[in-house]
Amino acid sequence: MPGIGKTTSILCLARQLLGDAYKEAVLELNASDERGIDVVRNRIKGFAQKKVTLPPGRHKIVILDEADSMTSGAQQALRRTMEIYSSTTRFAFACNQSNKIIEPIQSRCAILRYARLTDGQVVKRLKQVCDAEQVEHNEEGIAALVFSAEGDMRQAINNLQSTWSGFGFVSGDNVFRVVDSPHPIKVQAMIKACWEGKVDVALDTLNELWDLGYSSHDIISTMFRVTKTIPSLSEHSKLEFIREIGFTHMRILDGVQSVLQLSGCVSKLCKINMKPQLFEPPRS
Amino acid sequence: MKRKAPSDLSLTQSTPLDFCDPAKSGQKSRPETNEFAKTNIAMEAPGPFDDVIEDDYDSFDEIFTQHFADDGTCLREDVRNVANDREGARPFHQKELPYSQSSNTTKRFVIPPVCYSQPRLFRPFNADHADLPWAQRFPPKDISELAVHSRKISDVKTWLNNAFRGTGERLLILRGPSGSGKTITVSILSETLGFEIIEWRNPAASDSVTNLPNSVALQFGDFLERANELRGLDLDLPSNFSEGQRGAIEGFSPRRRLILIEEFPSLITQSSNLSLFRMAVQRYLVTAGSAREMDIVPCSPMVIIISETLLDSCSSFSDNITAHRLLGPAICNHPGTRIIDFNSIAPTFMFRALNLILEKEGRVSKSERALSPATMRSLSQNGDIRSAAARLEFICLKSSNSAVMKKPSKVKKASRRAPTLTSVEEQALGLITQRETTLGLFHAVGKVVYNKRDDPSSKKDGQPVMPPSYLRQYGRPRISQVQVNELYNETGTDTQTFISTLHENYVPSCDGASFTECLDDCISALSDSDLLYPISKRTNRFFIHATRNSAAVETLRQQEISYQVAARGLLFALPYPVSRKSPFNDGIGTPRHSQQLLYPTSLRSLHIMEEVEGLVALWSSRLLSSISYPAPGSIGARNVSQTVTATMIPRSDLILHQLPYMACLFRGASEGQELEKITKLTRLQPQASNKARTFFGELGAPGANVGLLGEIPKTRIRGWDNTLESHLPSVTDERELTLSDDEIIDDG
Repeated sequence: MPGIGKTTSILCLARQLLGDAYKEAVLELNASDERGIDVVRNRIKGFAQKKVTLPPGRHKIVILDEADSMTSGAQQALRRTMEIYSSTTRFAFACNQSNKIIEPIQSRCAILRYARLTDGQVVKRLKQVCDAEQVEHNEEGIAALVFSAEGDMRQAINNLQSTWSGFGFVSGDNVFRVVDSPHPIKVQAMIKACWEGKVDVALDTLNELWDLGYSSHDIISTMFRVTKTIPSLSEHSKLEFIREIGFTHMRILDGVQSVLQLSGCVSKLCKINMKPQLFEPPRS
Repeated sequence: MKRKAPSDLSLTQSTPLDFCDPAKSGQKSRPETNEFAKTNIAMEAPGPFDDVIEDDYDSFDEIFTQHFADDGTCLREDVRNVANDREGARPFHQKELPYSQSSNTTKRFVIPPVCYSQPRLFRPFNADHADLPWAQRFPPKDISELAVHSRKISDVKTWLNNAFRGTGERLLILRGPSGSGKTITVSILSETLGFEIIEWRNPAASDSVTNLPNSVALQFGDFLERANELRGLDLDLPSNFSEGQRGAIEGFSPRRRLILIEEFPSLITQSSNLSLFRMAVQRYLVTAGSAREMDIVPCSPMVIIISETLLDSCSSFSDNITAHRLLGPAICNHPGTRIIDFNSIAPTFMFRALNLILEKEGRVSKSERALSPATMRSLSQNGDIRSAAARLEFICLKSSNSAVMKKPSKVKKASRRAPTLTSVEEQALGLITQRETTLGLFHAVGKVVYNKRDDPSSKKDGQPVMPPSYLRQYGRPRISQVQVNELYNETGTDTQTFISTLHENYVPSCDGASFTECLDDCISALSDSDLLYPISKRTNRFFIHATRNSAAVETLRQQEISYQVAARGLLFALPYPVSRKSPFNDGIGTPRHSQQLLYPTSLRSLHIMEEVEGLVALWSSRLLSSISYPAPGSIGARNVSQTVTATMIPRSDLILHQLPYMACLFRGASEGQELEKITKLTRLQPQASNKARTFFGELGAPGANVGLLGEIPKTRIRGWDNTLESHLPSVTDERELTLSDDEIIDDG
């Protein structure tokens, strides 16, 4: 999960542990740095062999950010290096999916799992930033930021900044204008109309969104996100809604990005909760 | 000796050039390398010299650093380093530990011991390896402390003894999950049996820039050849040092040597390099065999250590090295090859080993760390001793009161812990012990298949939303306790594994009055979810070269949708009070334990499927090749290979007609076993427990290419019919048979 503070916390720790020696004793390699086998062999090994004067009990730290994007060849090369130099150098990996880290390395590590940030934590930090920067905001704006960020602190703060510098006021509407995704309230209304079986209302909302220029990707993904969190659906319809949306999502991924697909999806959603008898042909 | 300025690059570059002439390199290079060790710069300047030289250069470099990093006194303790240590003459070094400086520096071929005793600037001078992580700091000292099952140890031991006696055993493959003690077993046995370990290490420099990309593989072949044939320099000196790994043979010639390969030539992911690697190993096997026949010198046996994991459905080759992917069927089934599977470490062994570590640590740090047995036990569940030790260290760190992370020797006095599992400990354990594909997976699956729901009467926050009256049958009055959205983050594995594990485990939950309806709904949800899964549509069944889509946001979302459909669908369809009952038993008479959660069968059989596939390919190429396959000691072999002169055999013909006959002909010979693997009907062993760890132990029985139920091709040979019957599982329960080949057609 991005933006939940993995890299930040290891950097903070390194700074606290090493203090002034930080510059010399920390090697940070990012996904943007080249991290092929050669780099592992030369640069990391070279750093591990380097001698740095540190206070007792401190070690050099190699921070490999986004380690899951390293090739497994490079990871294989790393495992021996980790072992040989473990007396002087510590390794910290940050990664999104730990199953992309090869098993031998996982075995050599203590694994700490970072949970996705709760909305409360994001709100708290956003408020802090707002106070520090004297950002004018309302509750709705903060809620919109939290919704659009999906637990990603970095994105939340980035959106906050761009909304603030763009509009001067953080309100819900402004945030969604910046994020440029369909307003979830609209989508929510649409889903609700589907649940109530009001085909025309739902289709009207969809057309409205479409006319605003949102792509079918945007619309279907917001539909999914809204559906999975919306409280006012029964268990059955939630399952069926997600299933329908899933199939439409798949078609859209396959390249059929027409409004027809979306309309079909919305109509099917409406049908789920309508009386089945309505669809039986009248007996002649 | 004077110290060089650390930035003396010119020196480091000039050093390797001295290695050009191997005859004098040992003498010439000694002073320079010495100084190089002091400079401590590891700038691997990619120079104009060829890879051979860089190779040497690196090896020196590493050896020096290692000694530099090692404290003299702990060399003895640090058994792990024996394996790492390429210079096999370690015992001599140990004798030299007091380092009589002046006497040794005059001798050639000797690394002046001054480089051992060089003071460390960056850490306190401590008699102990206080800086090493615990797993390396307190390794087992002898066999009795080894946490590996004693039978495995004796297996390896007998093999090694046989190999050194020259009974034709050439290649030992140790495979098992990481942290199951493979390497340390070998290194401890090397001490007790008294042999040296020569280990391959990848050269450090970037030869892909200066040379052909496959040079590493070529070097590897060279290494094997030399390590096999060449003797070490027979020098009457206390410690010998050869010049690097190419001729990485040290010690006296009568000493027994072992080639250890744990690190594979790195560019192995490219198929050309892979085949070069295989060829090198094969050449080694052949020369070793012939050398034995001609009774020259007993050559060194080879040990390959492979960390295997459960095959993931979408893992590509490079992610997951298995013995069969790496070495191919020809090597794996060579008569001189023996594969020993290491299981992950059993909780009782692990418990003892962890206590031992604590004890050792306590002796060093002169403090007592009392971890509650509950904590220790939960740590022991994991099966990976290396990471368990790391976690132990972590927890002990946490138990100290200091806010800042300190190294273990510093926190020693702080901790005296309460015997119960406090909430802090629990929390710490929860944070630390989660490992991919272990607990998280089954925990999450269990949540779904047990389908716990709230009691509506005790519910505070509102009634669940009910569907309209005409859809009453879809109403679920009790709110599910499972937070499906949150669960997605806890599965701890990739989505597909999760879904297939659900698929493996949902059936017992359906038990009840409306079994059929439940099953119907569940399976339809699962099949929809399978359809929705983005990758599964596009790749073939043998995922070896599956191109992984870039993790586009859309694909991720599609995966999540697939997950949501599966999880919600199951939750919706399962009856409310789930009483898990297994509707079948596994055929051996013991009813399958209904509480158990199992790994998906597909993942388990994938492994076997690959093996059998490889074997079939091997045999078809053997049959097709015009050169008659040399089968020592078997008359039938020549006949068969000469009669079959077809240029192409359809796969089904091969499996159904040729190979069964050949299996009869070869019965008893070593090839017969390979053939039996293909033709024999076996069933997948039932899983003994819900832990992944048992996986490797269970693969004892090979899977087979099986026809459809009871439609096994009846061959018209008499004697063979019987064997076929006897191989057939007595219970023809379709679940027990693996159907690993689609193409098999009933010919009856």
